[in-house]
Amino acid sequence: MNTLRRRVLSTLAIVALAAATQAHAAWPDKPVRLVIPFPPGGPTDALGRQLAQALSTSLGQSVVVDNKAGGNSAIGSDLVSKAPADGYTLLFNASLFATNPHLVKLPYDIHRDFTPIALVAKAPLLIVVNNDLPAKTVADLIAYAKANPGKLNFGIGSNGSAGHLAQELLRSNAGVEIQMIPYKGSTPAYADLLGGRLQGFTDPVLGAIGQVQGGKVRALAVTSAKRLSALPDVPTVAESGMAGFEYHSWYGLWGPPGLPAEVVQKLNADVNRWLQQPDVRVQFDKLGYEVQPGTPADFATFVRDMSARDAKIIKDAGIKAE
Amino acid sequence: MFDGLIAFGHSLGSFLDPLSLGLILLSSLAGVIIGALPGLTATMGVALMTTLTIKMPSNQALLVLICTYVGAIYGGSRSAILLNIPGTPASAASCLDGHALAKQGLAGRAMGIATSGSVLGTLIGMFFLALFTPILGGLALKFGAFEFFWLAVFGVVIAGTLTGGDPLKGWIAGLIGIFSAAVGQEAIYAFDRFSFGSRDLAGGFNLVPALVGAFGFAELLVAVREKSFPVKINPFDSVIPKLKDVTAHWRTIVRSGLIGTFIGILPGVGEDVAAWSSYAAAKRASKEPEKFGKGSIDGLMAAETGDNACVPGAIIPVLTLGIPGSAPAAVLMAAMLIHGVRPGPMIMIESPTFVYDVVAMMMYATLGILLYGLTLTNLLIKVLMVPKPVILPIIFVLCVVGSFAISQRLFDVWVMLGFGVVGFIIRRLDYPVAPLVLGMVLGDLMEKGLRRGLVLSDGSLEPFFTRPISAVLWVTIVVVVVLKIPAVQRHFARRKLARAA
Repeated sequence: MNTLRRRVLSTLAIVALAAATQAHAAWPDKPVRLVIPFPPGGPTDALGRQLAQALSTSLGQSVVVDNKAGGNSAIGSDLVSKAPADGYTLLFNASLFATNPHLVKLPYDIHRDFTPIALVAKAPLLIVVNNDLPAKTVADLIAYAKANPGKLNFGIGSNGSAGHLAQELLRSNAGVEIQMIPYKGSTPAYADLLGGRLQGFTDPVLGAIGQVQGGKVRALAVTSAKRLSALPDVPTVAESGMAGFEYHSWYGLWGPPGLPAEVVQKLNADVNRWLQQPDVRVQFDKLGYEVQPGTPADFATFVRDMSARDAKIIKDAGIKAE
Repeated sequence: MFDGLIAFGHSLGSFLDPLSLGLILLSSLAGVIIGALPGLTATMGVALMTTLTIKMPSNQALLVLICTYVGAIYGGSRSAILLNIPGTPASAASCLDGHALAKQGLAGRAMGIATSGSVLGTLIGMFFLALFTPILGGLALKFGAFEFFWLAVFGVVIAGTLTGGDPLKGWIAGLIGIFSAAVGQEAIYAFDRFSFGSRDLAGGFNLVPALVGAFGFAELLVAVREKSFPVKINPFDSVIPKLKDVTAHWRTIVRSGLIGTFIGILPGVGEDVAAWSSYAAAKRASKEPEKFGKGSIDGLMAAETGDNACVPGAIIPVLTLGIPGSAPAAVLMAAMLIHGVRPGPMIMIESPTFVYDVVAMMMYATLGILLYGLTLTNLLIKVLMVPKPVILPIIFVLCVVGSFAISQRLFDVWVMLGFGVVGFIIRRLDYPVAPLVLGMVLGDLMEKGLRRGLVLSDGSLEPFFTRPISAVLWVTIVVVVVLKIPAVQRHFARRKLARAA
């Protein structure tokens, strides 16, 4: 009996310990939680987990990934914006963080309610289509859309994601009709793309490249200025007749508002050092990821610039705020 | 075929070193404990282990993750049987008959059934994973928004007829569940619904606190109210799975194994739906449907076989398509990516033996849960003999801590208490709890299916009725509902009588 009670109690103690999130003086003296506001398995998640692993090494404390998906990344972001500014709760988010305010009503202000820490990478996107679609190039796609109005369904991983905006940019540049179907993350969108219910999808290279190389979908173009070394046969959108077309997704690290300056500096330095490591460089080059090491202030400016750019795309493309 | 066997043998052999065997023992145990603790789900367990195994070589890390995954889905049955609290959402269906059996003094037998069901379920799923992965991967793609919508409706309709009694009451409970799923920011545009300006409500009701409340806390309220007699442990009760339980229910095991694997393959529905579907199918096929919910061996066997068969099933589309079939499988896929294994269409080309490695890991995980099923149970049964004044506060603490642990929101504790009170009241009014919970699980799927389907079809309802799989589903739903109308039932009863005369 006594052993049983001890067992139950010790189990409870373990659970309570795991749940406790208290602030301490010497940072970090316990595991850090990295909130990724997307379901596991997508490109943001994959990069975020790599970063978590790198930070675990450099901080000497495990950095635990916590996937808080939903609400267009707003649920996870909101959680971090209201977390204690002790450096034990951080946010890894994609570019739609800066696009969101122009599309949805948010419970936070992206500039005031967060501490920007570092820009992690800028990632080009691949425009991929179902193998059964006759279009082989971006020009074919536009011709097909003109000949078959209302026939093209393109997926959106999250409303306001980089893929969404790149598609809107393409659509408004070409002046064609493409129906946008919203999904919760890119994983379910691939299920429908492969199943033929979607005709196309625009997704960061990391998410799309496996499907392209496996022959399950066809890549029409990449949204960067240069071709990818991993897919040398896939042209850029600019080469495909839309001169000047360039669009990137990007990823960054934030903390709650009022994060102590030394914590921000330490994290910023660690991220930048990680980005310079040779193996990371090789992998990023293959996927066309661009790295711009900078200070937290640079990152803050970058977020403002990107947010302004996306506001313009949204206005020009006539994307309605929900 | 023969090459496959050799590759599988090679994979099995590659884990036969002391370190790997030690990892299997430890991680299966960790899985069982995580599963048995309410509030710690299989998804969280795999995520936690991903962090802990990041420095290991990829094969050993994935071995740990798969053992944890299988262990957690199995371990959830422990608390379901003993305390009527589903340890993970996957074992909610096991509460119904498992706890009823425990109340009859047959907790040991119930756990034995859970062990044999889980082991055989995993083996059935594994069989399909090993032999038919390339063929079955494509199956996941046949199901789109339209089909998922009907699948969700089907689930709620079937749930209404699950626990006996008035199907209308079951469907009302199901609708309450669907409504609860609609509270909070909706999944597509993050629009607030029924939040009344509250940030907590905007986050929606989490499934785990709702489950812990509706089963565990409601049970506690019942226990407080009723004057109960201490559970007698049947002297012939034994945790060793009975061969008779397996042979007598082989049809249920095979059927649930197939259903579980199939549900596993479908993305977006996971172990919980697998358990409920197997349970519902077992009830339809049973000669004694009235026993379901009151301690049916068939029911418990179906639920436990179904949820564990779902595990290998959910890994099939990960390997062929890079699309996970359930939430824990999604975390597992993320872990594979971290370890440099790129699941998806390339895997058969880049590392063709990887599938066999995964099957071998699954095999060892199965041995792990079998071991703990045979050894860890006798002690646990004594939980039932702990006097009420001691055990009830412990259950209450478990309910509170379990709800809080999932996302450290105090609001979740209120949700748990709220669902507990609602669960208690509707049980007293003779409404079943199972459809309420299933409504919550499926409400989200139903809504996304309907909305996405309507966007895909430009607002036309036609594909919902004309696509082949959709058509089969909706016709079945109509038949199930029509057969439950009292007038129709009377008509059939009269015809049967007339024929007999």
